[in-house]
Amino acid sequence: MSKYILNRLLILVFVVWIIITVTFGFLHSIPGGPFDREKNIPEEVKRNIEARYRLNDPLYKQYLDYLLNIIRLDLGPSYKYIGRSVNDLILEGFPRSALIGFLSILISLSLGIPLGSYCALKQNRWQDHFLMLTAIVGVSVPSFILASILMYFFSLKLKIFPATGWGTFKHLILPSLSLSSFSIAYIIRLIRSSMLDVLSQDYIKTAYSKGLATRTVVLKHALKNAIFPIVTYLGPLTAGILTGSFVIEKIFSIPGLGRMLVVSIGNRDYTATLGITLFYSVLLVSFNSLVDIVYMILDPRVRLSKKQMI
Amino acid sequence: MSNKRKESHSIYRLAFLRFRRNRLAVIGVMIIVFLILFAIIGPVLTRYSYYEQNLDNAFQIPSSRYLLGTDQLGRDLLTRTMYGARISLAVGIVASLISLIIGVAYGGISGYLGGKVDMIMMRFVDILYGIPLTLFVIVLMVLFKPGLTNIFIALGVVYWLNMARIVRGQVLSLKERDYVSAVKSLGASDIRIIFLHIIPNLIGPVIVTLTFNIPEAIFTESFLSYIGLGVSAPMASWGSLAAEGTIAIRTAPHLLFFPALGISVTMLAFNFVGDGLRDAFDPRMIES
Repeated sequence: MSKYILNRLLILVFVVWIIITVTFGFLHSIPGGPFDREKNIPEEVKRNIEARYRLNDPLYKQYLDYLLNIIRLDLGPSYKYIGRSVNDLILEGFPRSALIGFLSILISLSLGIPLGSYCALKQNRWQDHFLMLTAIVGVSVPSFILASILMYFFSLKLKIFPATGWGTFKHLILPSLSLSSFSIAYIIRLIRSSMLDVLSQDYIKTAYSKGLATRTVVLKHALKNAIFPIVTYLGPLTAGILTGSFVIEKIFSIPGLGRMLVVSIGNRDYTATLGITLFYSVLLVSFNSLVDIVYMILDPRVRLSKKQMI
Repeated sequence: MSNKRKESHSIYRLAFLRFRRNRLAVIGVMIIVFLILFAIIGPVLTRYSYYEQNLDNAFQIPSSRYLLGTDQLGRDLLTRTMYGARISLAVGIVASLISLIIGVAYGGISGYLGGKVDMIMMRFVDILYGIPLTLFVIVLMVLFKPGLTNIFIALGVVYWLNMARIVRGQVLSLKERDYVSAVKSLGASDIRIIFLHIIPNLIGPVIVTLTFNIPEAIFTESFLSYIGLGVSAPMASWGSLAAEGTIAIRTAPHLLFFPALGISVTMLAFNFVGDGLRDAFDPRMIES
């Protein structure tokens, strides 16, 4: 089993290296060089960048410098905000985005899993159909559209929640809800089909014939087995919440990392854009590898088959 | 004893009959047909163009003159929405086609050749799969000019991975089927096997994957346009229309409502159809 973990970690390092290299390639593939493109760079920034990047060095030397900087966790100076480094921007924005992201994941799981299980139990009855319909709508309506609608009704018309800004708990609710709409719906569908599969198994029938109540059967036996697809989904879930955060933070004017990325895109702040993208990419890839390892630990079937393979 | 024999249906006919019974899926098809007509014929029928500005008439609510109202520059929203439909449909179809061609070719070759070649090819796919591609689409759009062609390329590059995986899985399982060995022992060439036996059985899962790719592509395009990386003004995609609408949400909510409705309904329709197709082609149900 530890061989598998080592394998995953090696792949992780390899993928991260590829991402870094590709990012470097992007940075230097812009015709005319990234730093000449905009005519109106303030002189200070231009001098800083030229000194720092030693643009006259041969390409491989620049690449090695870039690589070393990354390992030292230095992502470079921001183009637009003179004097501030990309690291500063990330450290400031990420905790806020992480809070909303975490909240969204929590909402998705704590709403999606129970509702999906409920659907499986009431299969083909009106509760099932109704929730399924809601789920398919949740999957189809883009989060930013839902966010705008929620903001319109709850902030502008009913004035329950603040429309924009940051600071109190109330500011967190609408963003987290809109961000999680797709995942809640997807998890409901996923758990429903997974639960249906599990519930048709023999050991569940045995449990029922022992006289156990539905609640016990589901909570003690079925849920543990139905949850595997959700673990696998955690990877794409996080990726989705991450990309979703770009627009959600823009709509609700939340000073998080997602909005910072969108702003730096608009400002053509190349170092910030690529630095933040790199940060996000590494985060996602690491999380995916973690999920893979956790899945392997949780599922005894995979563990056993891996043992046979070694 | 009756001499009557029930006609056996081909796999497609069976799937078609089952699909027809699925009400949501049929509604989805009707919506898509309407959408296609809306996009292709619509702009011809309106008397406005998508870029005509008429500043005196800005921010009008829907009326008999401007069926969906006007935007901040006095442009007719209905016409712009129709052009938006064109873009969404084009994006969905082109991205899916690219993913189809590359994905089927790659997955087919990998699955059919098997062995080491397959392992290497799939390792490559796995590694690419690990890279968060939406982020790279964003980076691509930042560095190279945002524009429709670049969106097509970016989306196609991202979606072929999934298709390749599915095709390869199918080919692998089909290769082992008895009828393939039988035909092989009769002397059928590889090419014959590929075209006459394997490809027809791929069509089910491939079509389902394609149908689910389209709403994803439409979503990604509207997402990109929403953050300003998609089509540029005055060209109108539903995403950029929604972005403009969000800004004016307090004064002119119709500007957001209609493009949003367009995106949502289109994605809903394709999801219904995709679900319907998947259930219709489900081999577990075909046995019955």
